[in-house]
Formats: sequence, C-alpha cells, structure tokens
Amino acid sequence: MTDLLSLASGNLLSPMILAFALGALAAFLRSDLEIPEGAAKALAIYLMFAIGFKGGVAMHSASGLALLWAILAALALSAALPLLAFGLLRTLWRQDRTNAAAIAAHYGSISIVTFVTAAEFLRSRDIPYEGYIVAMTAVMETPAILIGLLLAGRQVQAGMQQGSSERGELVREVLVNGSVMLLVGGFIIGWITGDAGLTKIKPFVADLFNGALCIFLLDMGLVAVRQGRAAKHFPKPLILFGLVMPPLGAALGLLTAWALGLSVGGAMLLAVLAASASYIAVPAAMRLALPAANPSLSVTLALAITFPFNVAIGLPLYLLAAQTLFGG
Amino acid sequence: MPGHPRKKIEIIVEAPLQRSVLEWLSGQGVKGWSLLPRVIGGGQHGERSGDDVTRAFDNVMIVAVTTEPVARQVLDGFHQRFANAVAIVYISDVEVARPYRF
Repeated sequence: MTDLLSLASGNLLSPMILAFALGALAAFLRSDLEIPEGAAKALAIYLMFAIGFKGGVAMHSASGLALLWAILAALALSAALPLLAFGLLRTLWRQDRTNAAAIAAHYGSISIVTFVTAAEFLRSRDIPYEGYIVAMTAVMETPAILIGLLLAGRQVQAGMQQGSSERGELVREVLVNGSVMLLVGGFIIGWITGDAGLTKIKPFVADLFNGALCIFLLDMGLVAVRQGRAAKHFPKPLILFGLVMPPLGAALGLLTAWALGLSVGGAMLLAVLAASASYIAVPAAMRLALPAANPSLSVTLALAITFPFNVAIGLPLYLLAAQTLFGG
Repeated sequence: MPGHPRKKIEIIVEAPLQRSVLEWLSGQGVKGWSLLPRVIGGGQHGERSGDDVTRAFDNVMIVAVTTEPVARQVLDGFHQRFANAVAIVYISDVEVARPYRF
C-alpha cells in the first residue's frame, strides 16, 4: 500500500500531470485559455513520431520474431477487449446493442496520449521496456472498430444504407489512419536508422519530449473537462463503467504480457494500452459506421472519465501490479 | 441588369460525413461546392465548439449553387440518404452572373 501511495504521489506531482490538472482547472473555472487546434495537432504529430521513432531505435538490436508474436498478441487483445466491454455494457449496464457496440469499440482501441504519458512515467523511473510495444500500440489503434461493427450486427447495415462511400471512408480510417501512419512510419525509420539516427535528432525527439507532453496534457485537461460539461444528459451509472473497465482491461493486458514474457516495463505499458480507450481515431469512424449510436456517451466515457483515471491513478496502479506479478 | 436565378444549397453537417456528402452531391448533379471547416453552433445536439480533438463533434458547412431541379432533389433526398446524420439542409434563391457554371 505504501508503495502504491508513494508511486501515486510521485505521479501526481510530475509536471505532466500537474499541467493536465492546470488545463482541467482552467476549463472548470471557464477560463478562455485554449491551445489553438493547429498547435495541438502539431504537438500530437510530434509526440507520435517521437514515440514511434524511439520504439524503432530500441527494436534495432532485437529479434524480428519477438515483434511478430507481439503483433499477433496485440491483435488478439484488441479483439478480446471490445467483447469484454460489450458483455459488461449489455448485462450490467443494460445498454442497447448499438451504443454498447460503439462504446466497446472505443475501449478496444487505445489512447496514444495515455501510452506516451505512461512511457514517460517509466523513463523517469529508469524502468526499461521493449521497443516493440510501440508497434503493438499502432496495431491496436483501429481493429477494434471492426469488432465494434460486428458486435452491432445488423444495425450497421441499417445505418450505412446504400452508402458505399462511407465504407470506403471507413476502410481508409482503419488502415491508413494518420496516427497509425505516424507510429508505424516513425517506428520503421527508427528501426532502420538505429542509434546513429537517434544521435542525429536526439535533441528534438528526446530532450524536448517532456515539455511538449506538458502542453499537450494541458490541452487534454481543457478538453476532458469541457467534454464532461457538454454531456448534460450523460447517464450517471455509466461513470462506473468508465472506472471499472480500465483495471479489467489492464488485467487482460498483464495476462497477455505474461504470455509474451515481457519485462516489468513492457507489461505495465501493455496494461496501459489495454486499459485506455480511444477518443481520436474511433469516434469519427463510429459516426460513419454506426450513426445511430450516441457519440456523447462513448466520447465522454473515454475522454472525461477513463483518460483522467488512467493518467492519475491507473499508471501507478498498473506499474505496481506489473512489479508484483513480474518480480520488479 | 438582373442576374440569372439559381438556388443556393447550404448543408451544415458533422465533419466525419463531409466526404460522403460531397460525393453524393456530385452524384445528384451539383457541379461545384465550397466548404467552411469548423462551423460553431448549437441546437438539439448541444453546442459544437469547433475545436474538438475527436473530430466527431465538429461541424462543417457546404455551400453549393445549382439549378432549381437539382436543389429540390438534394433537399428531398438528403435526410433519406443520411438518415442518422447530424445535419441541417436548406435552399434559398440567389442570382448568378454566369449561369452555365451552375
């Protein structure tokens, strides 16, 4: 317990989490503070490229076989998570099929910002992790969209009607989504160029990283509170789902990490991936594929409840679980 | 000198559907369009602030000028084609200088 408390307080007092709290406070006080959308997008591009690149560099000396197994495990995990979420939402929260499927898709996908914050949380404690976790991140970004659609069943047909252009748009979203391109692209560039490549751009991709993450998380604080406030008719019982699902997902992530034989750091990151929910790639895709689902349910859950829970409480919790289970 | 009468179609629609709507409009016979990204507004679906990180709550506005039959067809058919979309469609009278363009 004392371990958890000291990890948690160390996390809460990091500049990143305090910046998130500042953003949340500003939105709470209805301040006019805002990060221009273009700047937020540029920061997101930077963070994704940098994390992809650094993962690729770490992969430079690792075996390709481990990467292959990791990718297969990531696919299995992102298929299992929506099934779990869907089952819970249908049975315990009595959600209709369409909304349960849409929310499940968000929880099967991942939040790259949560992942980046977790990677930084490990780095500041000198806990190493396998570089190919970054590749797993990219793999887990979009397949859950398809699982969500399968779970919704016939609703998809009804919603899409004759819309072949929506299907084309959706395939694009799943396969060549911008964040997938950046993560995979950065990863491959890092893998090819290795430490020599890192030396060339280290001041940019490594030294500036934490500062950029601070500003990005400040924006996330603003966005999370504003989203929570915008969802006036959000059903209160669902809040519990947003808090219960992350630790359950993390447990599945830890199980997968055990099967892959990951290190403590790798296991913690996989738990974070499984615990987090998408609020960037999936919402737009769900509007195309499942227009009958209410986006304010899924986005509020992912952004205003699960995301703050994961960065404030989840990170130390999952690290402690990984250390206990994998002998840190 | 009076211009040539045409109809202006304005569609305010959620951003994820932008591409699908534009393709459908072109299939209806609309020859050109303009688009205003990030349209801020409020209504049945709450407020849409235009700085949304998810894009799911962003609105765009599509403006097109066309002949009356095409505009009527768009007005009549839109909500069937995009049944669950967050969207507002309306048409109005305008005058143009070069009718062959529309």
